[in-house]
Amino acid sequence: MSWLESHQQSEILASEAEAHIRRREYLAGEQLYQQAADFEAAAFDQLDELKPRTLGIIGVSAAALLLKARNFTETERFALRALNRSGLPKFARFELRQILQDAWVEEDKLGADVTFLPGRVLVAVRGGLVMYGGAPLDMIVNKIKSIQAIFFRTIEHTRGDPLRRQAQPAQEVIEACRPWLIQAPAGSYQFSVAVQKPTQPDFFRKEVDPQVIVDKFLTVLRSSAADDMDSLAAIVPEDDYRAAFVRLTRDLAPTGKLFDQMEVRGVGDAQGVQIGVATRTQLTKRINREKKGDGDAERPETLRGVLRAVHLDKDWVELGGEKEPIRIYGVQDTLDDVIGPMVNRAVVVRARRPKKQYQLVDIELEE
Amino acid sequence: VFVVEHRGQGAQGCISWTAPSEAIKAPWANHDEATRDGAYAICLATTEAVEGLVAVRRAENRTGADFYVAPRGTSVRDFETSLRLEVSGVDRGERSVVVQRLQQKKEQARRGKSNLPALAAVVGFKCGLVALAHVEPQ
Repeated sequence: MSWLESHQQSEILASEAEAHIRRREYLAGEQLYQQAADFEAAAFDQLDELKPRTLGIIGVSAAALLLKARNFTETERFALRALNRSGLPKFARFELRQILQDAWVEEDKLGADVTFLPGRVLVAVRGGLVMYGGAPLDMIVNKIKSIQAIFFRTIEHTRGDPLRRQAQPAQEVIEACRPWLIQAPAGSYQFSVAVQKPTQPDFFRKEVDPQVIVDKFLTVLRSSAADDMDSLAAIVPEDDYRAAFVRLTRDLAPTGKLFDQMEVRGVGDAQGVQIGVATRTQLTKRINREKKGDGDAERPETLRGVLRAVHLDKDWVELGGEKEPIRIYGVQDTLDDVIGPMVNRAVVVRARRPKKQYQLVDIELEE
Repeated sequence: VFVVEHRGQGAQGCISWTAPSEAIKAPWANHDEATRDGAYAICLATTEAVEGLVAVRRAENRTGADFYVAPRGTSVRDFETSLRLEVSGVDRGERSVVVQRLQQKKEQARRGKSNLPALAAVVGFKCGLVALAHVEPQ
């Protein structure tokens, strides 16, 4: 069999495998991916350096098929062998290293004491100060907190809990369904989040497919980021939860100063949720519009300073700066996981002053 | 009707299809996959209409599969001269989102991280735009 015949056979088997995976027939799909990988590896072995681009494409393809077959040991073995071939082009070396790193991460997860829900969410940030494999620490920590907050609220919503306005999620939510941060291959700056499988079988009040959490998280994010309230209302009918998701998604979106694009996707999904600077502008407008009550005709003022004090029970926050502290009221609707990470940080506040007191419209971190 | 933007020129293209029944829609209800597969169909049709290039091979990558395109009628014996077709779909974004996505693809190519040269095609379903660009590594 020539290399081309081997590759053609691999193409057919990989297409069949994809169809099985799409129907969530994982075992059959993975077996077909393994067969496809065997044919592709055979094609790779028959190619020589006179066709460098073809060699690279087929090498990457064979390694990717082994990864999709979840044969991580063989993925490692093949990727290292392919990387040792002379004449391999630069793009193929880059992609093979990424596949190798994926295989190591997946294999480590299999050996860990915790079990992860199927599916993993990959988050990538690009542009601005972000470089290949590196990003400002405080920015990444903030974004991870926002993602974790959306995850927890998705879990709470799926459990049928009322919207939590204050305090951290219940310990049982944190422990039973803890999102994990897992290193992902660099490409701009990337990290992935996996959700630990609940240890209590009765954690969800009714039987829930674990994949539902990850799918719902992505749908919530997609609908919020697109400012598509009809789609969001279809899965989140409650007004308060919907407002919370919009708010958290807005805080996730870039301002364009530190980075300008975020992509969130399920591992294995070809299309991710794109969150850009325009997303932030659009959602900020929505938040301000929804916060505008009757008789709030005047435009809000923009205040800048450091968030020095928060007292949600007494309904105020205090902004410190070079001048006298400014107290802003009307913060009861603000969620703990939105405002908590802002304490002692520079913030931008939009507030109206109909009488003597400032009334909060919106608050966000200043980047 | 979609507007096709390519090499600084704009043109209109009409696409007609048979509306799927509920029975067909049901198993294809995954939003991401529907966007991706719709983008594949429209971008492949556009690439053939505008550039005379047709899909000849397919190879896997980490997240899915790449299409390779070559002039219609070419007997493709390897990947040395075929172009990789990089497809992306934007379901609800406006023109600016489509243009930004195309720019990202070109930027990836500029940094030499992809197996290019390639043809990048981005389809915006809401704004009815298909943007095509040749991308070369530096």
